[in-house]
Amino acid sequence: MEGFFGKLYRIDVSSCTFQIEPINERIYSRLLGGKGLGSYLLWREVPAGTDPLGPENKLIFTWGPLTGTAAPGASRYGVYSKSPQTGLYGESYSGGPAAAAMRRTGCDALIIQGRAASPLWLEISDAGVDFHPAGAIWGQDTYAAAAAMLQQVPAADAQAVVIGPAGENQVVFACLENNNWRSAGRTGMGAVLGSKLVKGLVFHGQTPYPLYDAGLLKEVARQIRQQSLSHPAVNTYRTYGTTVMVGAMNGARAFPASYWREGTLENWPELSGDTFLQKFTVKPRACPNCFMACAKLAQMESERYGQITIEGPEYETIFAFGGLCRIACLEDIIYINDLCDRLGLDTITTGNLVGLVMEAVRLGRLDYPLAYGDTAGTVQLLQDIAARRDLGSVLSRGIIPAARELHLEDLAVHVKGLEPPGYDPRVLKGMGLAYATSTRGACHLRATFYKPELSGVIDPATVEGKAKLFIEYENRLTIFNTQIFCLFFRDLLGWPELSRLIQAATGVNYTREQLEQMANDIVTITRLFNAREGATRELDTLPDRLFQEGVNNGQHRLTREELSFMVDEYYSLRGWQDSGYPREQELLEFLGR
Amino acid sequence: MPEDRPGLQVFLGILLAGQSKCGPAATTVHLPPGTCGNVAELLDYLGLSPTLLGMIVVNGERAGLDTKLPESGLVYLFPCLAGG
Repeated sequence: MEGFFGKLYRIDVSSCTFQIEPINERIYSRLLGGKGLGSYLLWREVPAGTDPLGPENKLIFTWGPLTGTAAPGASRYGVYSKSPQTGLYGESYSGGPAAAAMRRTGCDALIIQGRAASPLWLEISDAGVDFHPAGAIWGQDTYAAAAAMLQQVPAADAQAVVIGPAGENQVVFACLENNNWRSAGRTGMGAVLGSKLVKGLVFHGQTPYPLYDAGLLKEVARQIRQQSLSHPAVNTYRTYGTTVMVGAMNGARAFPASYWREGTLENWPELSGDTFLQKFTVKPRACPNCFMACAKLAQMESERYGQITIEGPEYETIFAFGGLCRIACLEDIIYINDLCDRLGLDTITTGNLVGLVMEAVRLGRLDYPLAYGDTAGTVQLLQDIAARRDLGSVLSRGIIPAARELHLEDLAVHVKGLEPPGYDPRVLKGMGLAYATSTRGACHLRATFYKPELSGVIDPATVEGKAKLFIEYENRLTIFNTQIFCLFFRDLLGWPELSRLIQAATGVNYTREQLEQMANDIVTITRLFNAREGATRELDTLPDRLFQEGVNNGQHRLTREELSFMVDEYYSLRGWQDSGYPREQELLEFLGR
Repeated sequence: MPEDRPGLQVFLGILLAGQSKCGPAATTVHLPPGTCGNVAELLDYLGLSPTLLGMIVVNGERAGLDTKLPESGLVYLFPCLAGG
């Protein structure tokens, strides 16, 4: 099959050695790259019971057969590991120029294993892997560490992926950062890299990409670009980025506020996309070969915080700190966002944990000086989390152990140990199905199902027929992640466009049905990984609080029965058993070969 | 912020304002009572194609094109959604 190099780099940081290994073509033809390849390798490489922060866990990077090509929206990489946050399947994605640099190294995947004797950073290129001492940059924030590493690499096109102090200290929701503000945020991939005493990775190379039909790719890319010029969603992304969702979610009363007690923040206009554009100097920024330019480079001149330049904040960060923690000031949120990026903390999880503390303090169940809206106290707590100090040390272990230790299990909102993003499932019931069934925990990105629920494709209050539509979205976006396409292109890349783009890259003309089967296989592999770790159907649910408490004065509720109905339908349509865990012998044999 | 004078306060935001008849500066429009009977008429009045919109909220409730407009209150028009 074209489009792939057919090999991976295996890097053992214990012995400072690496080797190049072939990847069997049958893997590509059945699962393609990106998430397909990454999930396969994770299944193969990480047996049940592996300590996520031990040397035997693997950190796997993948990209896809269109990465770095003229295909629009194909500037993303994926990272997979057993998550230290959930103890289950972990995955995260990030965009920017880093993905193309990864692919120019001339391989399709990277496996990092072992634990270094002392801190290292790795230089990975088409010439091999160099192991550099990282003692001088250990302890630095992500911006400084990336700059220091890149300064030592003469290649002009080199790109860095780094961890901050949170990753070094193995905070279980530490993330990976590239280009300062791009985060592989979820499921604690930064903690896994930190556990290996690796501060960061620099990628460069000159290897040409294998491509089946450059002419076809150019033609399809041109058509997509042409159709997109006046597309309303493209205009919205280019103008507001994701900040537009603050208004929309409050309008839908599905904006989680006051740590999941409310569906709107009364002063949400202070956080809106329009306020963002009016208060700060904002310029659109794009990944390579992207016309959408969803990123917003903001310049803030603040009396309190001085001058800050940042890409963001994104909607999820605004919801997490603005909504859940009631910090209704974009200046404060930009400062917090910058701090999280420097420390290498996932903003969704961190905002949820700070909100949990604030709610516990409000209820008199925790003696800690942090009230809703307290920015200075939040900043202190973030620094304590990253340094694993005081209450921050408790929170740094993740929401399940923290809630247990603080006796807050009834308050804590999470699924499988991962906290939800900013879409209340009591209003958008399909998001409840998404959170409950996602293998990585409460995840909005497997189907981005808020989109059809908010835009009138399906009634957010209904549960009938929801699983079927959900699977349609989940399947298509799973194929996105085999390339790896930006999910913001979901309105532009339907099945025909996906099929043609994959054909241009690989030479294989997959039908929609074949791609749907491939997506089902990939989702099933992630389920099999969790099943092997002992996960059961009982984990495919939401926290009790979200069933017991309505939102918007009780107007919006999700019952256990409604969720069970959707989950049952989902299992059935996926071809899984009532237990929710597949025993697909043929797929297991494929994985075992 | 809601105005004291009677009528509808329509929040367009920067993107939709730039595409409306009202021009880029008018991110908020005030409509005297009775100017438009329903949401479709409002969009026509503003010169906005329904395809540009992601969500409409009238006095705190999600609305469709045939939703009748009240004499007074708040209307939010959100552009095509761009979630993260």
